[in-house]
Amino acid sequence: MTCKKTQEMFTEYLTGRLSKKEREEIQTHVAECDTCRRELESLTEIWTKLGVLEEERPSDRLRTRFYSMLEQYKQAEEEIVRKEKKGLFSRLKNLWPRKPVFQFALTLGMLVMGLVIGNVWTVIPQQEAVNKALVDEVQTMRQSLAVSLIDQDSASERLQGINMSYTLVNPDDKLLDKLLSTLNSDPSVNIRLAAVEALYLFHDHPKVKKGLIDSLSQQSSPMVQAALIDLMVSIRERRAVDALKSLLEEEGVNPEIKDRAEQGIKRLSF
Amino acid sequence: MESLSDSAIMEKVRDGQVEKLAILFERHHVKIFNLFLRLTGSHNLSEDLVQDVFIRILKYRSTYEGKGKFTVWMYRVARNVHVDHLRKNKGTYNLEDQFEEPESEEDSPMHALEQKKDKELIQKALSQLPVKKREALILSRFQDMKYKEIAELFGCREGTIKANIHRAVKQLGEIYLELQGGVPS
Amino acid sequence: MKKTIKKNIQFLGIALVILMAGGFLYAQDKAADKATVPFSNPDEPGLVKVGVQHGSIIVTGYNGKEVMVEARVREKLVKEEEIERNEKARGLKLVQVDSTGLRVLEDENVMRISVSSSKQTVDLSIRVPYSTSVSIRAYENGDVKVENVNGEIEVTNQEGNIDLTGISSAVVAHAYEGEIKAVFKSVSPDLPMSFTSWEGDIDITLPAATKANLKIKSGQGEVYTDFDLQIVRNPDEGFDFDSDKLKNLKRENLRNFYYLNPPEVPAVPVVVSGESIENLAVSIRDARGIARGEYYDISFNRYIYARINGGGPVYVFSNNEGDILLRKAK
Repeated sequence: MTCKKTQEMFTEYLTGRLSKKEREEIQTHVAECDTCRRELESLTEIWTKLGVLEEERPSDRLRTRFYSMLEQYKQAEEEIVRKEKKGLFSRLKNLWPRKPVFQFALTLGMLVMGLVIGNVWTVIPQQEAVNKALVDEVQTMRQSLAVSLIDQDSASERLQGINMSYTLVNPDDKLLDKLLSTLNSDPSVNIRLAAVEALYLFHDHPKVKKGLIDSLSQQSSPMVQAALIDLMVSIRERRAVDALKSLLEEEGVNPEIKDRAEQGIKRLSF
Repeated sequence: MESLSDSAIMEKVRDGQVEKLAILFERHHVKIFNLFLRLTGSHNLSEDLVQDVFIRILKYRSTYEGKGKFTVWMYRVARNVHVDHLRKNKGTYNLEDQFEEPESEEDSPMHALEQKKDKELIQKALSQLPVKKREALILSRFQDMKYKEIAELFGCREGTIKANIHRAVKQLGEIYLELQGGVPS
Repeated sequence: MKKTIKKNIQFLGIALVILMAGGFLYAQDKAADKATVPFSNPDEPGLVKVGVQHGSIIVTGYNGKEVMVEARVREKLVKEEEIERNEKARGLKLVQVDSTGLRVLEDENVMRISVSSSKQTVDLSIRVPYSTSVSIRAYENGDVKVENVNGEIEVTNQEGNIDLTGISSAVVAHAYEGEIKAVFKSVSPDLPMSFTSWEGDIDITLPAATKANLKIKSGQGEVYTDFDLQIVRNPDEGFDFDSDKLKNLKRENLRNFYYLNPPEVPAVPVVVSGESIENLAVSIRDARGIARGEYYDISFNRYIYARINGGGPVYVFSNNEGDILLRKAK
C-alpha cells in the first residue's frame, strides 16, 4: 500500500472507523515506513491528548433560561395573533379614502407584526399559528393593506405596499392584478422595477407568467426591460422567446437591451 | 409515554406544539453545550450560544422540512450561531474568561493543577485552529458525527472532510508544541 | 461570477467638487418669474410636485411656511431664425415673450408647479418648508438638487444628475444618464428606499448606525462600501433547479428578507456538482454552467442581499453601468 493511500486513511484510523483488514494493512505499512509511522504517531498523540477535554455539564442557569424563554414564546405567539386581529381592522379604515399627503406616521412594522408587544419575538405566525382560519383572515387583511398602499401618491408608500406583498404566502387575484398594473403603468421607474421583483416570487401563477411576458412590449425604461428579461431567463420561461424576438425588431430600443434580449433567446432556446 | 424520533418531535413543534421543543432540549442541549465549549473554550459564552440555538430553532421552526436527520439540521443552526458570534466579536475570544471551570474537589492540589494546565493548553491550541478545521475536528472527535454527516452539514464531499480533519490534527499538534515552548510532553 | 465587496473606501483629503451641468448661474439681467404660495393647511406637511422637460430644479428647505418659486429662462432651444415663418406674416415682426410660463396650483396641501420648457430651458429654484415632501421629474439639460428637506423625496432625472443633501426621510430616485448622490442627515426608521441608475454612479452616505436591509445590484460596475455588510445567503438563487420543498424554503428566505425586523436565516448549503457554494452572495449561475465550469454573463447578475446594523427596511441599489458607493457618515 502506498504512503499516500495510507495517510488518507489515518483520520479514519484515529476515529476507529476502519475494518480489521484495513487496520492491518496500515499497521503493516507503518512497520516498514518510517515517515508514515512518525506521522501516525504524532497524529495519535494529539488525538489522544484531546481526550483530556472531557464532556462537561452546563450550569443550572441554562435550563432555567430555556424554559422561561419557551414559556414567553408561547405567550407571545398567542398575543400576536390576538393583537393583529384587533389592530389591523382599525388601521385599515384610516387609509380609505385616499389622502394626497404622504403619511409619515404609517409604520408597517406596528401594523402587521405586533412588534410593539415589547418582546424579542418578531416571527409572524404564518402556517403555524394557532387557528388556521385566523391566519387566513390576517393574510387577507394584510393583502388589502398592501393593495391600498400600492395605490397611494407617495412613492415610498407604494414601495412599502410592494415590499409587503413579498410577505404574502398566497396572494389572490386582486393583489396580482395590482402588481401587474403597477408594472405597466406606475409613473416611477423604481416602483415598476420593484413590481418586477415582487412578481418573481409568484411567477408560478399562469396569470403572472402571461402578464410578465406581455409587459415586455409595454416598457420603455431599459432598467425595467432588463429586469424583465433577467426574470424570464432565470425562470426559464420559454414562452417569452417570441416577446423577446419582437423586442429585437422594435425601433428605439436601447442597443444594450437588444443585446440582452438576444442572449436571453439563446439561453431559453436550448 | 410515546418515544418519538427527534424528527417527528420537531415536526410537531413546527406545526404548533411549541412546548414539545423541551424534549429536544433535554435530549441535546448538553451535546451542543460541549460543542460550543470546545469551539470557544468559555463556559458562559457556550451557555449563551446554546440558548441562541434554541431560540433560532423556534424562530425557524416553519422552515423545518423533516428531510434527513434532525441533528444535522440542529448542528447547522449551531454552526450559524457560532459564525454569527464570531462576526460580531471579530474572531478573538477573550482569553481571560476562557478557563473559568468549576472547581474539582477530588484531586490533590498538585495533580489538579497539572491537569488544569494540560486542559488549558490543549483547549487554547484548539481555539487557535482556523474555524472550519476546528469545527470538523470537534464534530468528529467530540460529537461523534460520521464523516458523511459532517460533509452534509458543511455542504462538501466526504473526502474533503477527512482531509480537513487530517490537516486539523496535524496543525493542532504544531500549535500545541509551540504553546508548550517546543518541549514535547 | 463571484462578486466581492470592496471595503475600506479611502477618504483622501480632497474636497468633492460637484460639477453642475447646465448652470445654476445665470445672467443677472434675465428676468425671473416668481411666486409665493402657501399650503391650504400650513401646519400640516405638504407635497410639492414639479417637473421640467428641459431645465434644472433646485429645492431648498427653509424655516418658513410658504413655498417660494423662482423660474428663469436659460435659453431658447429653437432660435428665432429656425422658426418656420407663416407666409402670411411677411412684413410682420415675430413676437416672443421671454416668459417661463410658470404655473403653481395648490389643492389640499398638494402643490403642482409647472413651466413651459419644451422649447426653452428653464431653471427653477424652489424654497419649501422643511417638512415638505417632494416629487420631481426632470428630463434634459439640467440637474436636480434638493437640500435640507425633511419630507419624502421622489426624483427622476433622465439626463442630468441628482444631488440630495441634508435629507432625513426616504428617497425613491432614478437617474438614467446622470449620477445619484445623496447625503442623509438621518433616515426614516421604517420606510423603504430605492436608488436606480442606468449609466451614472450611485453614491450614498448614510448615518453610521442606519439599520437596513440592502439589495444591491451593480451590473457592470463595482460596489464599494465602508459599512460592515452582513451578507445574507442569496435568498433567491437557483430557484428553478430545486425541488419544490427547497423552492418553498427559498421563497421563505426571500420573504423573511422583507420583514421589517428580519431574523437570521440559517444557511442552506446548496450542493451542486460536488462543490459547495459558500455563505456569500453570488451572482446567479446556471446549474449546467457550474458543472461545465462556466458562469452566466454578467448581464444576468443577481442582487447582493445584506444587512447593516442588524437589518431594517429594504433599500434597493441597482445600477447598470456605474458603480455603487455606500458611505458611512463621519
